[in-house]
Amino acid sequence: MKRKYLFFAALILAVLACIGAPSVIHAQEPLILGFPSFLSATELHKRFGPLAEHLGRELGRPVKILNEGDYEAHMYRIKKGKVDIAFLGPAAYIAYTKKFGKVPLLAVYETDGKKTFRGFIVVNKASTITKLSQLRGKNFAFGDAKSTMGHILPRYIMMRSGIEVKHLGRHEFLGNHENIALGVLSGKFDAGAVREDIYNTYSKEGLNVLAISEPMPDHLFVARPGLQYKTVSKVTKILVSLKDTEDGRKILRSMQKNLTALIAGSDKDYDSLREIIDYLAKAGVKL
Amino acid sequence: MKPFSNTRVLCIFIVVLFCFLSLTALLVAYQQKEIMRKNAYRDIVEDSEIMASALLESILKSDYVTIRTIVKEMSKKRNEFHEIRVTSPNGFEIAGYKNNRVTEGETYSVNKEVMFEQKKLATIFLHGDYHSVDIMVDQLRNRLIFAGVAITLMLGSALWFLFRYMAIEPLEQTVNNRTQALLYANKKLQNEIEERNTIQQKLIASENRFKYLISKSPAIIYTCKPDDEMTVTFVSENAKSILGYEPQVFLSDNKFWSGRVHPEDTPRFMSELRDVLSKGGHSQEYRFLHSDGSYRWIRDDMILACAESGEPVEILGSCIDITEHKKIEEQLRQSQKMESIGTLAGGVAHDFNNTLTAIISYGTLAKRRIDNDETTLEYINEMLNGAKRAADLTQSLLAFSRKQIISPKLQNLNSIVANMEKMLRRIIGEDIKFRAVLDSRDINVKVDTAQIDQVLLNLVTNARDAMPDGGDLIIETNIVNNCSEVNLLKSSGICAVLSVSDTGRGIDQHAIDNIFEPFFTTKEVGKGTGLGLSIVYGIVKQHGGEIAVESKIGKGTTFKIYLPLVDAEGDEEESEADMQAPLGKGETILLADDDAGVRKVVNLHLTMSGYKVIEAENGEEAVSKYIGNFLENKEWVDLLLIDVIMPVKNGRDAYEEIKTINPDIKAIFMSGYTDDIISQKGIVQGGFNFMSKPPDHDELLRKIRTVLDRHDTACTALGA
Repeated sequence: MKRKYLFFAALILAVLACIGAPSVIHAQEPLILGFPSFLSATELHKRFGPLAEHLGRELGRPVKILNEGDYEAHMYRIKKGKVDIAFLGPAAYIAYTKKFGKVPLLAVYETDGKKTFRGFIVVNKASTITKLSQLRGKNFAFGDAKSTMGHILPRYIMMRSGIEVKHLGRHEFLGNHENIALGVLSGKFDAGAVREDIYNTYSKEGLNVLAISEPMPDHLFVARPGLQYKTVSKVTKILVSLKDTEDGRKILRSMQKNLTALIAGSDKDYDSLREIIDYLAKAGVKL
Repeated sequence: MKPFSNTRVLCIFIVVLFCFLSLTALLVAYQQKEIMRKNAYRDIVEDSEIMASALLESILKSDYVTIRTIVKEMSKKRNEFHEIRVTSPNGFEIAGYKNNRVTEGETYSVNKEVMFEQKKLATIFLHGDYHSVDIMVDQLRNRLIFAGVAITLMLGSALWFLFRYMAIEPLEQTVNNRTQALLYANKKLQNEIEERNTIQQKLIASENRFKYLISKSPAIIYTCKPDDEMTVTFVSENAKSILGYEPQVFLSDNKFWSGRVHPEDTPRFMSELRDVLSKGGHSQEYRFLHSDGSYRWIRDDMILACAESGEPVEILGSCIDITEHKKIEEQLRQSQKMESIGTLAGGVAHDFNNTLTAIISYGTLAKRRIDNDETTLEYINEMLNGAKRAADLTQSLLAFSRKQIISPKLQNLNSIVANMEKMLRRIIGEDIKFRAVLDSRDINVKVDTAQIDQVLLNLVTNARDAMPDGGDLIIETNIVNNCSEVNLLKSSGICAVLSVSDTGRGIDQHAIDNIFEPFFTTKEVGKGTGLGLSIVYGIVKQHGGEIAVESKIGKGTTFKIYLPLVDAEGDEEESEADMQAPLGKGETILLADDDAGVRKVVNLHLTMSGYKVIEAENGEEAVSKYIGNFLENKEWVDLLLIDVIMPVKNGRDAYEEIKTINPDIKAIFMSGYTDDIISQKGIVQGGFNFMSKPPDHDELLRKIRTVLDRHDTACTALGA
């Protein structure tokens, strides 16, 4: 009986597949490039619009940017196939894989020629804080709670130095790394955690480094589960070959100033970060 | 013509209107500028407040990226912002904007603090300028001015049309009509002016011509008022050159003119001057004192110019210097006197000569017939000597009256003087230094040497007598170029001069005036005949020359004799060999003379000398006798000896008639008469076969022989 039901189910699926196949391969069906709302819609379109156009041209089908909800919602949309290609931070990727399993990894960020990046805990140049231990009772600015460099790694570094959030005077999640740097510079926060490139941008205006993290794998593009292998392969090839042309490099620079290439990545590259996240989870930190 | 005054008023109105509108526009623009600036500043302050409100939320959220976005957007909102800064309380510039635009005009700065619960979170600083406001105000101002121009033009045009159709055009029509009338009158006036200018030009030209003519005229032109004083009103410029006075001096002094008339002429001058008014004009001659001190003879012609009413207006006059004319007149008078004296003397001498011819001829014949009576012979000799002296006297008179027969030949004047020098030295004696200054050139003159010798002799004798106490006597020969001054008609300006100068007592003017008259002498009775200078005068005149005398009392006297120069070539010197009177060879001579005495003695003389003589008492008889002899072939007449002046038929006519029968007939003319008459009769033109009466018998025989032996004929010599 069970076999009979399975057969019928398979038959219905096959029919549905046959009915649905033309719509999937239909040239006019847009490919959804999904992002969490870590940037304003304007900024996001400004940065990734050229990439979407390029993909559309290369793929021969429209590519539409979808920018809604936080990381959590974003992961669910990936899982449910609402987006075809998804942009993820390293921590979000690890969270997704932990929750929904592995997905095809299309390409990974290479910034300033490196496939890893680091996080910095910074203080105002005028600040008297020179050690992590001095952060007790101080105001601290984090990025997004899911952000690798904006939250996970600083928490890990501070924990390793014996500083818990509860030891801080006040802490806020400011969303993006620029706000953290400017919050520290304007004196609203005594310290903050920023990505390496943000530090490089604002260090001249008056930031001192208190601590630097281990190199971690960077952001990446993944395909939704079930996306046709042909498309996955083609998208991967398009993304990886961006660095080879001037137009491609221009697209890369618009995505992030120090982005030098999109390269093929491996899930194993994120294992070190997985360990840190696991460590924090065990310590009771909710990410 | 345009109605300029109306147009001007209209233009002024338009200009005033335009200025008013422009000023209004500027005032409005200025006020608007102030208002707009205030509004702009208020807006900026409001913007800063809005910005502060907007930033407060972001600052509270620590959303600095949004702050930066707001600042960026704000900078785009107003381009007059030069600088926007949002700074944290610690002075950090959270967001900022700054452009590099050059600040224009007035600037503003706004500081706005972002506060939350009494706490300053940030400070907003806005800095900018009112450039946009200024641009708008400028645009407003330009538009207002443009509107002002447009209004002015529209209003001006409207006014112009109103003026034009309601006021100007009728006025213009009136003005045009009057202008046309004026133009016509103006043109007429211009024509009149041009005509007047032309007349004036002509008048000026005429006046200039008149002035020129007056200045070049030999007459002084003058005008004077017909009043009692005869006030001179104008005197031509040539008064200076003619009388030596500036014209102004005649005008300045009424008595200047009359005061310079010769005292002898003054009464007549004044008397005749007064007659001008009654007679209407007159002409008088008087002497006037030249500025150089000499008196000039003036002929003054005056005419009274009257108005139509007959009232005298002006006296017009002209004065001509007739001093030279007077001199010439005097010379002519002197010359005529000399001529009349000469004619008288010549006539007397001619007849006297014929008488002497008879006395001498018969005396000579009588001598031949007396062989032993010494006493009678002596008487006859004395008689003949007396007759010869009388003959000499007649010769002198004839010489003076130029009736002497002369034989001019080409001579060098220097040679004549040189030949005479020895003899002259003898005459003057030792007290007187004699010097002959002869020109180095040959001075060729055609003269009768004996006559010139006579001239020298007479002049030197007079010079000697003028220097009883000794002195210098200089005889000079020269060639001068100013012979026209001495009226040498034959001269082309160059002539020979023979001067005899002494350093004697000189001659006074009265004596000079009469010096050449016969029998005028200043010498004591018995010392001179009074014929010496008369002879000189006659000889010089007969040679076609002139004689002048210059003398200063106590200094001496110089006589200058001007003689025409001749070309040396073509004049052959006739040499006359001295020889014994040749006798006849039986030739037949037809002797024609109206004087029976002369005829008789000449016949006798010729017969005794070997000639056959046929007598005729006039020209008619001479012709008939020659024809009778010629036709009948009785006696062949070889020579005519014929008197020039004869009754019935003169010698020339008779000769011409005989010549028609025998063209080769030879003839000798005789005459005791004046050379002038001979010339007038057309018989002789000088230099041919002549004998003067009474003839010297030996000379007559030599002449007859010469003519007979010559192969040519008298007619050839006559050239007739």
